[in-house]
Amino acid sequence: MSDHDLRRWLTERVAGYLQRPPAEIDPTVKLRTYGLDSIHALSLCVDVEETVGLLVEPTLAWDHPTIDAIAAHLTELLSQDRTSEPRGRPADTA
Amino acid sequence: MTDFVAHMRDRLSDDRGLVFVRDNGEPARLTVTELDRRARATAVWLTERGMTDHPALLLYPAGLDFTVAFLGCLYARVPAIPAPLPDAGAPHSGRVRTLLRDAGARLVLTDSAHAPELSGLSARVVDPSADPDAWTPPVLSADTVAYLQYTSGSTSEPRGVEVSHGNLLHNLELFRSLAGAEPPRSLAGWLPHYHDMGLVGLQLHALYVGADLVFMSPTAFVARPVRWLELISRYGAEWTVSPDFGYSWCTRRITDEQLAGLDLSTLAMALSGAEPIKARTLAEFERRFAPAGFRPTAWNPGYGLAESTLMVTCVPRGQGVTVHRFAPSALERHQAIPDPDGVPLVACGPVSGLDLRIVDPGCSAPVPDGRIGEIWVAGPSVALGYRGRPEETRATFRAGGGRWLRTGDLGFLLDGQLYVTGRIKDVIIVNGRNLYPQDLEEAACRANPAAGRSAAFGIRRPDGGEHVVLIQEVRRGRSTVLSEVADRVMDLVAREFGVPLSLMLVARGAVRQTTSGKLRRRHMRELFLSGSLIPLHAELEPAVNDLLATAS
Repeated sequence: MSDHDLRRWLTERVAGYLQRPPAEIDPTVKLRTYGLDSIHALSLCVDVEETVGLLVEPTLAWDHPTIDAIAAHLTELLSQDRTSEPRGRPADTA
Repeated sequence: MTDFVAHMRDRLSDDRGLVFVRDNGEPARLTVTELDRRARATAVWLTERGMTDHPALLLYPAGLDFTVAFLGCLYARVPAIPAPLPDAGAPHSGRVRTLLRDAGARLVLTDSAHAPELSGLSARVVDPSADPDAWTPPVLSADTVAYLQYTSGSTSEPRGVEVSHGNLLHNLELFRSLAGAEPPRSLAGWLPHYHDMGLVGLQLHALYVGADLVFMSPTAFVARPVRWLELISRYGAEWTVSPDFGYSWCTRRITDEQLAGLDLSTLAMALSGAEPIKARTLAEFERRFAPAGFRPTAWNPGYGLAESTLMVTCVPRGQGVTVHRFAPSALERHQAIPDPDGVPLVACGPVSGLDLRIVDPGCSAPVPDGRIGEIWVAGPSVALGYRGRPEETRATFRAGGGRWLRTGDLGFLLDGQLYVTGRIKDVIIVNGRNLYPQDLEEAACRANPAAGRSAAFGIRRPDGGEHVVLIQEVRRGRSTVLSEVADRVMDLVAREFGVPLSLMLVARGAVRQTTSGKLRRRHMRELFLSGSLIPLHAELEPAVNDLLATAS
């Protein structure tokens, strides 16, 4: 996924959780402003895992609070994936 | 029978049991006979440590170990305190210490996986090798405390509801009678075991009626809600329970592809409770899952609270949903007047097995049907009181001459059904989770130590959901400084509580108190909603902005 596609995909996902048109989501504005809650934040992690193939911390949307910040973080993880050993943590089986 | 232990032990079976489906999809099973054996071993271990009558805090992940430990406590006459596992390194661990102090508990129990991270609390793991045959049943009566249900997450004002064996049996009998002549053979759900509806409505309910229980972790549900409906499909569950949020989350998240694999035709009862029930949620779920065999007659909307063990009223099996619309302007004047274009309210069932009255919260006089007032409840399900808090117990549990519980919720009776319309207590409910203003205010203060007083309260959004509003006093300053302050407060609160909020920064003295120094949160809410507060800076959710614009 290119950086542009990744951002568009993230915006669509988040807009879906918040039940808003994607055009209303400004990638530079903190997602909590739009009403993002812990349920949405966890769903985003699941969607990232299933679609992008990355395991991310459940605090993703709080540590990287805008679409731009999340996209930058994921892009960095993806580039590390390509240049080094596969990273990420084992799936939580607790 | 007067105690849960004897009742449960009367129904031991190798054919029935509990299945916990782990987050990776693997099921872990335990027959009721084995559960009893392990509970006896736990009880022996507790008794050997002299724990009889001393409360124990149970910090377990979702799973069978909790159920074993909880029953072990009951078998040993140790009041159990179910509580959520604190997040590693989170400030909530202070909350655990507060609970321990408030309950006078010395023992923390956990599983072996979490013992290392809870070593600071001296958490212990039950030795599974204790001899179950050394167990002798303790003397239990209807008045013996079975467990403490903490209703406040507050670091400053925790309140543990003392639920007796008599309370528990009475409330579980209310559950049993909902099903009529056809007791369920299996229950399925995902609610946390430290939540009253997860503990009583799901786990203890299944053990009481002798049904199988299939359950999963709340995290697994939130991540992939289809897993809940897959449990129902795969195990042919006949009964499930959830707050409104659970049903709406399924409707929104489950894809057409996932839907195609579901079979909900076995589901005879789907209880909705623990938070306001939206007519829209029920209608949308029905429509979405009709192709999977979900029947609208399966709905059982209900109302309850931990102070009444769990259930107060609930629609019995097969009666379906009653939705009536009421004029919003009349509701504001505390009257329920039918209006075909008005606000839809879902009936929460008839009064049955408990006494219920609606009273004027000011003068405590009962009001006639169709008038909104505070819901008062009396009967054997009403818990003993708040542990170690005689004054609060008197105020809440001994109203109207001594036998009435003041629920703090508002509602009315009409055609024999209870409708819940709001509340006068301070708790805010978001996604089925209770949030306490004290906790939000404390976090806001941590984010901005230079601030004055803070007041948090909930408001109802036009879509029926609740939204947190926080008012904080600050010194006047440049707008850039105020906007940074607001950002810091909102970042911390949103992250710690996982809820969006609206924040208004106001001048010193704007957050009102009573002469005795108590925050007047409801008054602040009225001032906020009427547009009477003068903001130095405000960050409001768009829907809240719209609300205020209509008010002014």
